[in-house]
Amino acid sequence: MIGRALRHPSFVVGLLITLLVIGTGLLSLFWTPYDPGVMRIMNRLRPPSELNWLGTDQFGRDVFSMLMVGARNALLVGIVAVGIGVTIGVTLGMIAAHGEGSLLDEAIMRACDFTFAFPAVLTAILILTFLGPGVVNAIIAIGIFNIPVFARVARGAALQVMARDFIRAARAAGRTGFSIILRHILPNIAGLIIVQASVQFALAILAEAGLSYLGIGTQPPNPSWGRMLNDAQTFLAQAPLLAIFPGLAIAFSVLGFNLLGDGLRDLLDPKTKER
Amino acid sequence: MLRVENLRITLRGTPIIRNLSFSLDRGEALGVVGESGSGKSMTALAIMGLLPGLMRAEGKVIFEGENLLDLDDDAMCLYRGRRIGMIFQEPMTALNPVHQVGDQIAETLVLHGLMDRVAALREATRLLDRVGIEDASRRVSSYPHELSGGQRQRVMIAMAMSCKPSLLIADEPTSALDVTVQSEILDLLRDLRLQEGMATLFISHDLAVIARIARRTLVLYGGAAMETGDTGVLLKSPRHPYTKGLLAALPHGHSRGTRLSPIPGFVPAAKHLAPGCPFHGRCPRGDETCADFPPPPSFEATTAWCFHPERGS
Repeated sequence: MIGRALRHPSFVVGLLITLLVIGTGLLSLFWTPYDPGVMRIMNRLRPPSELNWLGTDQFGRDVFSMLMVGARNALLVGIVAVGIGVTIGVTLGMIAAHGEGSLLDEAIMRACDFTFAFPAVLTAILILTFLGPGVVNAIIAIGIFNIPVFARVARGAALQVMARDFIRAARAAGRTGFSIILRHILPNIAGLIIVQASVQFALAILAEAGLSYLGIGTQPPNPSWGRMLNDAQTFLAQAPLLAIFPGLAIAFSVLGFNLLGDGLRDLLDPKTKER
Repeated sequence: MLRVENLRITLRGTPIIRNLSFSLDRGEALGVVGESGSGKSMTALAIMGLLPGLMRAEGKVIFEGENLLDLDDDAMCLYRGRRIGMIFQEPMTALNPVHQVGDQIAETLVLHGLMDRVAALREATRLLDRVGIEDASRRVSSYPHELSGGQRQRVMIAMAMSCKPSLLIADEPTSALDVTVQSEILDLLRDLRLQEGMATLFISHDLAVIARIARRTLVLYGGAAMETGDTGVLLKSPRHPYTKGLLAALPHGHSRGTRLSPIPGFVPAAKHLAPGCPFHGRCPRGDETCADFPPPPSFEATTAWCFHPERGS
């Protein structure tokens, strides 16, 4: 299994990028070139140099240090928000699929439609107004929006699997409801869920950026890639690199997670196993 | 051992199976033959208690002294897989693609509490060997897509017989296989029945297959029994016009050079069936009585449910 994984190009590249992002986040707990919160107004908007590897922002803060700490933030948002979506969403999807056509199924799916019907950011603002701004509440708000995505994908995929003969065979062998879901349905839809999760992970980082821009996500002085990107917008003419670095960081880590998701899907599918 | 009495299956009030009765003794093989839509598979699913949600079964299915139709789902689980095994038509899709085949065989044994996992996996290897899979100790960790259709059907058989059930229901087990593999599987099923003493309910649309495996045959049409009896007698001198028509439509030694004679018309939809014999519309001997009253059984060399059966010769 491990040997096979190491020969799968997108899995390896995805894993390396992801490990790099995680490693950076961990390293920032102990060491950054500068304190990312300290402003040096005299040094504002410096281009990259030996002293500030990626330059400084409009308050003279070291961009490289901010990106390092921002990685922690992005990972936290992505993993926890998608985690909320996957656990609750897949559970709801399974319950709905199991009672297909029942009142419960209708209730769950219509609740998902209801959530989808509102613009995500608008409702996130609403939720954050109640809960108060901050990164934890932003994660919860984004997580809530991931629930219907996974519920729908899981229900649809589960119904497709349920129609297949081996489910009937499992019933004929004496299995019932819940254990059929655990043993026969979940493993068959895992690939789909993983790919969806890697997409949602990227969207979660972007959503957090949007919420931070509106001032209700990550609060200053904690750095967030999204907010750095949006702050840089004002100085696009004077210091274009200021927008490019956080943008690259987001694109790079999203790419890493997508490749990792693709690779995992392939590796988990026994049909791609070599003879 | 298995006695089905007056089984009725309805879908929203429309009868799918009408007053079907038959019985099966220990170690015996009964062939159930009929066209698509005659209700063969639904009968099998009714015995297992696995009818699709909207269908209702009435009557009695008495298996080892217990009426299975009275049992709830939990109680049925003690029968499914444990005392009644079932194999399906499509070996390509009846195995879970993400689990190794040994795992899937062992699963049934562990599920019914007969063995722990380690012992069950060892037993799975033995079973694979028993159903004629070469190199069983290696094949036990194969995934279904790595096996051929015939091998998968052997795996299905190994799964179905893992708990040594006293009844095996085989729903068209060879219909998706080519003729040589079909013949091997039929031999295997016969050997298993003779050696393990499993009674077999063998469902097929193919009279040739039934003739090879079952001593007794039940002919179904439109959800009702047409004729039943010793397979040899029934094939040689059928008494029901439907059985006769079915046989006349088959090619055999004497028919070389002559046209086969099809039964005119189509199988009527269940909701259009009159209370009488479902075959009356296509029957050369049918009259008004046939349309209005269910025909009584006529016992001779075979039992035919018909007002105008042929004299047994």
